[in-house]
Amino acid sequence: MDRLPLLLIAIFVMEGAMAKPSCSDTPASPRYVRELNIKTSSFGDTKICDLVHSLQLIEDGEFIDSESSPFVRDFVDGELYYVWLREHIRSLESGNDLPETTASNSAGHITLQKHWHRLSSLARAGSLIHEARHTEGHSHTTCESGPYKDSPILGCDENFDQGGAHAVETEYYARVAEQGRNFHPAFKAMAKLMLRQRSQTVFNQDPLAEREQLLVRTTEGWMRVDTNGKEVLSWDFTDSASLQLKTTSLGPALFDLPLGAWLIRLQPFAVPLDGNSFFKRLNLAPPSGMVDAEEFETGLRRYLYAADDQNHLFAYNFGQSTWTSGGHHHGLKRLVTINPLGQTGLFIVFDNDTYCPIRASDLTCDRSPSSWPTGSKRFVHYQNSLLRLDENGKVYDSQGRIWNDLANETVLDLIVIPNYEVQE
Amino acid sequence: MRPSILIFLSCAFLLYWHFGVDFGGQRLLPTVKPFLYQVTNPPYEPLQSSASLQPDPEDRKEVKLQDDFMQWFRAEAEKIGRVNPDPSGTLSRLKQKASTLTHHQMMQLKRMALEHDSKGDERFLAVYLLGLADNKQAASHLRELALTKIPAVTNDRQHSDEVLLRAQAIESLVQKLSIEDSRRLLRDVLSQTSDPLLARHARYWLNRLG
Repeated sequence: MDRLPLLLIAIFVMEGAMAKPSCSDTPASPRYVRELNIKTSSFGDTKICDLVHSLQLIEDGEFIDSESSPFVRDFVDGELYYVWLREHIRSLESGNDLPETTASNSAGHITLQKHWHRLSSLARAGSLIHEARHTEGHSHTTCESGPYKDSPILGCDENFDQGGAHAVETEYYARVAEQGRNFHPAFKAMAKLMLRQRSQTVFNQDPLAEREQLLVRTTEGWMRVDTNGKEVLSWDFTDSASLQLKTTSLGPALFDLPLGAWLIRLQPFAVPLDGNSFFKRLNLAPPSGMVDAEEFETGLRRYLYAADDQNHLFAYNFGQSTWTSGGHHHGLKRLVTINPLGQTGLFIVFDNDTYCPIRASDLTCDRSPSSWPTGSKRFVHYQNSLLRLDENGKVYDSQGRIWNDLANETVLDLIVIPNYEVQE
Repeated sequence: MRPSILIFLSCAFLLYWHFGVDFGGQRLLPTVKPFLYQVTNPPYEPLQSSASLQPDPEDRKEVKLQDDFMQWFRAEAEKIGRVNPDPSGTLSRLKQKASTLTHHQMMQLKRMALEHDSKGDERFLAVYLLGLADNKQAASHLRELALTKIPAVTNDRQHSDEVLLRAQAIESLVQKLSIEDSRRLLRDVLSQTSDPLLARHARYWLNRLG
């Protein structure tokens, strides 16, 4: 009986020494193992196949030079993905040392974490290309906005143009989705969605910012502003000073609180009052006496914040269809989602020209109030720059100069129509 | 010598050496004994006749069909991550398969799409096939998938894959439904999901539909 443990140990040692996982259905498997220095003993028989299949797809995938895509910049030559990968990977192994990540790269030595194998084949291929880029020194930075804003992990690239790890990965998805020739239809469908999803979330500067438009309300009427200039919009709605222009998940909206809020139709431009209530469309009842509201995303959650005429703050939880009350904020003047520094979040502006960021967990001020520039009404991010609208109706750029595009207008309000509003 | 053979021989030796197993069946492992007795000498009278214990031929046929379907499904999911020399032929084949899906198979697909432990490609293919099926049951399952809450996951790529499944359900439904029904679905997604990524997919379509 006492020989049993020794014998078991001997068996396991023998197995470990002799096991050489390979992927028998892929003839190129031994070549990949050799060329990429794959530590086969760290993979099981099945897992090595996940890797080998991903590599073969990267190597044999073909792209047609068709219509140009803003996301195909030739950071990597579309015909040489595998060669490029080979040049940037010194070794590949399976591990479980960083479970919160998918894969990691230490000077070209890439470790694929346990759940890498559970991902879709598209995400597996994309993450290999992503990690390989890190060998050239492209590292990540803190996410300034979007769903990964509050993540402790440095998860974003500053912009697409730098061609970092997220950019080469996004470029691969764009190639598969728009130029892929020999991919499974489901793989292409995934790539199309992945492109839409990641292009809007992993770059601090929006790669499609030039497609953004401003919706502007002036003393003379309404207009849409973009890189092509201004377009005056015809208007059949009785304007009122109490109207507030807001960006919501259902699109631009006009809030006339506490009466209601109406969605703005952009094509053709109109504000139909019948059946077009923002609250009815979202199937929710606003808190009584509501005087201001902002819809906003923080981290991985969406919120609709509201303030009532008693200076109470509320947050709507979309997952549970409930309002949470966050107590009283004396002197609350209005809610904004961009502060004078250009940071995004929910902020309360007070009567005494101060503001504070609101903590999502308990709707209290996250720190003592800072100074709000006197006379400033609203800040917006437009095409990766920060604009300021003052109470005097003038719009200024980040250098404090009058913004040329609206220099001759007296602006009452303006919002950015996000990319997904104008995307073809 | 292949490692598997070596391990098998080692285990056989270990069993013989430790438990004294006689492969001629003379001596049995004590823990196995009661089970074998029960099978060979049932200590009770059967409640049903032996005829009624036989599976119904229709049931067997159904089980066989499901097994065949699952076998086909897993093989197809394996193909997603491989090069495909004939994508349009594959699409036609999948459409053909989708047009013959039974109620049970559609139910299975919905279940598979929501199984967090399954492979990513299998889950996506389940949604993709439902999207190709042109019937009300498939649309109903897709709607349910689109509105199913995204579970908490530890990793951003897992989360991304979860969103992708639901976005594909939305994508398919928008192709199937009337514009007004599509708008209703998208507004339901926007009113129920707390996830900004999924909301963006819904918003994208809501904008396109005007």
